[in-house]
Amino acid sequence: MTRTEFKEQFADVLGLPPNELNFDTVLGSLESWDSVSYLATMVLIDERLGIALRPDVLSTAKTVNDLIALVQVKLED
Amino acid sequence: MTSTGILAASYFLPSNRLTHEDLENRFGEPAMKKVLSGAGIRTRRVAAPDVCGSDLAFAAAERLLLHHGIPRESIDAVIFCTQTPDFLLPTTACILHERLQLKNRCAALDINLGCTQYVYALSIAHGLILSGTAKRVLVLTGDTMTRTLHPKDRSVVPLFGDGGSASLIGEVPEGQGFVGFELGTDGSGSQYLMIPAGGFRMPKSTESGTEMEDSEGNVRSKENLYMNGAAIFHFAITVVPEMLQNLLEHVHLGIEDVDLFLFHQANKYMLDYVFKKLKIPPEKTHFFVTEIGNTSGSSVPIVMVDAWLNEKVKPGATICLISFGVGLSWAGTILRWPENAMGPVPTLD
Repeated sequence: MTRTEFKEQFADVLGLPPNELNFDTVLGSLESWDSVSYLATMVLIDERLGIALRPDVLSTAKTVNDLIALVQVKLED
Repeated sequence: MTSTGILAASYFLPSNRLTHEDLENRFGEPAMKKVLSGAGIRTRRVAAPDVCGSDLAFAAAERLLLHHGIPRESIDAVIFCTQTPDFLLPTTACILHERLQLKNRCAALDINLGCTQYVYALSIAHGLILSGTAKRVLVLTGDTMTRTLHPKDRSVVPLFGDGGSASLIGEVPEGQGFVGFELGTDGSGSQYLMIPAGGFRMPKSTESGTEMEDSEGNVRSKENLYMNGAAIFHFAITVVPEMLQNLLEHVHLGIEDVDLFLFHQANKYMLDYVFKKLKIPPEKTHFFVTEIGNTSGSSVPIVMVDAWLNEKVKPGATICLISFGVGLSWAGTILRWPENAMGPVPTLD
């Protein structure tokens, strides 16, 4: 999976059109970034990338770029 | 060698319902819509303020004993599993022993575990029978977790319900019954599901009863249940697959050899993902959470009885029970359903 594909799938988790989510989007600014989408993001990362990201690590991500950096090792570019 | 198994089981739920509509009025429609689609819980059963977990267990036990005509003098041990006991002491199992009019030569003990209490109790009942200490063990569960929740805590109120159960454990034909157990603990996560105040480490005080609002607007005091949902979710999706693999290896079976997987009914979203991750097909699963919520340690026996009543549990079937939660603790067992099982007790609902 590429960075862009991951971003698109993350947008899907948030219920947003892909073009409404940028790499520098601040997660805290998104209304749909709540406890339910948080768990769905854990599932996305575990299921698609095989990384069981701990929530205390996931919560360090402030932007989409930060989130991608946490899973970069399993992305293609 | 003696084999042991579950001979009969029943459950009891309080009649009061806390519905989706009730919670929409309390927390707002958008938030509850997400809970319904995510956790898959529409209704919870809530015990009245003067009802204890032991009352729910007592009702389940009386129905079990009466329905099957089980002689009370045949019970050699009663194990009551709860985290909401009647008193700090004495042991609630001793009170239930009296209420159920069991004989004096009958052991009685409580197990203070949450979601994993039932499978732990089964392992102890199994051991008591194998050691020759008892021939028949009554395993009871009962909790009123809703009484530990702050009514304005949206992170837990929509999830939990109350319930109780009773199971009779006894000897079964050789080669049937319990095949093996897998028990485990990770105490480093003990703070993720906790009622901090009310024990001896932090006695109740004016301070412990002070309500606080967290960053998401949930209100609770240190005397209420706190749950870090994301940490528990992470625990479940990592530990459960590992536990099941260890259990299957221990008993030399594969997922394909198991007829039915009955998991702790934490919430539907979590279970759906764990089943998908483990490649367990839907026809080998059973759910009973949408209409009653997460009944903590009673959820495994309740879903088991429901599956039994729906004829998914039958003699000769290989059944896997899996539980995980507060502690953090996990417990699983695999059993071949015995030919001499008496059956489940029909519900009152």
